[in-house]
Amino acid sequence: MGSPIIELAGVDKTFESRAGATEALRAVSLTVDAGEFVSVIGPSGCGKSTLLRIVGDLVEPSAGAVRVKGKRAHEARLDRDYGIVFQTPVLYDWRTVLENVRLPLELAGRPRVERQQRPHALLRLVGLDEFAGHYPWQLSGGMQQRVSIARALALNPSILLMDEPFGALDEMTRERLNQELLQVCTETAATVLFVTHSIAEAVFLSTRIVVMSPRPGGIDRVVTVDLPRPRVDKTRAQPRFFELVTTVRQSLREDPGLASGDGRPGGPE
Amino acid sequence: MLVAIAVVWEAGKAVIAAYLTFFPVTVNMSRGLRAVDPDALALMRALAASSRQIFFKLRFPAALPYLFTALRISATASVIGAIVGELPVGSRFGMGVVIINAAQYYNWRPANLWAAILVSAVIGIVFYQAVAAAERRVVSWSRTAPAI
Repeated sequence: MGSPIIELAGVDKTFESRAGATEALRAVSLTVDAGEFVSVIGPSGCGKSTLLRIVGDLVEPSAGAVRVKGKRAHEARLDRDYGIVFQTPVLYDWRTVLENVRLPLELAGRPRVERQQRPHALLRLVGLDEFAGHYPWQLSGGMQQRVSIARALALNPSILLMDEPFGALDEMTRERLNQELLQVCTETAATVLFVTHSIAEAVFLSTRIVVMSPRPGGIDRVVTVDLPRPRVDKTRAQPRFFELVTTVRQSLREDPGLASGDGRPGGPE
Repeated sequence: MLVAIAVVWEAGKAVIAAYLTFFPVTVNMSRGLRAVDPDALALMRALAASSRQIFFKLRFPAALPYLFTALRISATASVIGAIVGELPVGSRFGMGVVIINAAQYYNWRPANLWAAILVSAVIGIVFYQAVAAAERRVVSWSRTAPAI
């Protein structure tokens, strides 16, 4: 693959509160190369979302270095180098679908022509242009999340950070959106960091899967997904698909994370 | 001199009416400005929005439903404030004066007092409906905008 886009080295995160300190992440090191689709999977509360937010400079790490496109995470955020999708769509109620997708373009002060045309192009990409004038609550959950993906792509970022974007959707919608997401990623050539707790979803989408141990979260194992691309519906029926699902499931079960330090961070297996 | 006092007093009524609406509106609005969904704020941060953009594109519109809830409460409170402001001796016109006079002559013409109270109630309802109509226009995107 290409050059490193996201580099985490020895990242710790401890949340301080009146109830005491909670160690969320310990010694996490990970490198994501350009064009990769890396999923982060682990039990609830293992710090997956925190990890993603640290990459996006929405949460400060307690220790360690984070570099995004060779810059400090803070600078990368100010340069709007990434698009983000949350678990909930986080659409603004007072804006129509079109206006929600336009928000990043307004904030970045993009020229008028672009502000008028790009949102429509993005909505066509996710198949929702006919709903441009609707308000978010008039759309189904899956459609809202597609709007949120279109918004994340508005500034044509080279990185997509996705925090369990399909976690709240039913299985059928989720599979369809997985497929759509891969198409969108191929078209936009974005590097993706994807948090999920669905094993099948991780295997279907990813080039690599990072398996995390429970609190404090660390990287247990990195599974390279060698399924051929492009991934299609048939991919889910391949024997190799099931093998990989089993591998990931066992990694999650074994969970040697307690003997911390042996989670070989960084490079692929 | 008397004219000057009268003018000041007429303004005073407005001050009392405004005073009654001030706290509900301020408290609700400040709550609305702060009660923003944390992820909506995280999105703004992720998009490197300035604090000015965060205010005008997120906090203010998100607070509008709170503002209008307060304004609906205040619409009736302001009418009460204006009437009460007219009760002290010295006022020469207004619903408060009419109510006081009608109360003094109640035994002679009881219908006057009831009519005055009815008119006051209607004014309150009209104010409320005016605010509700404005709310429907401004916060038309809201799922919870009042139907009445």
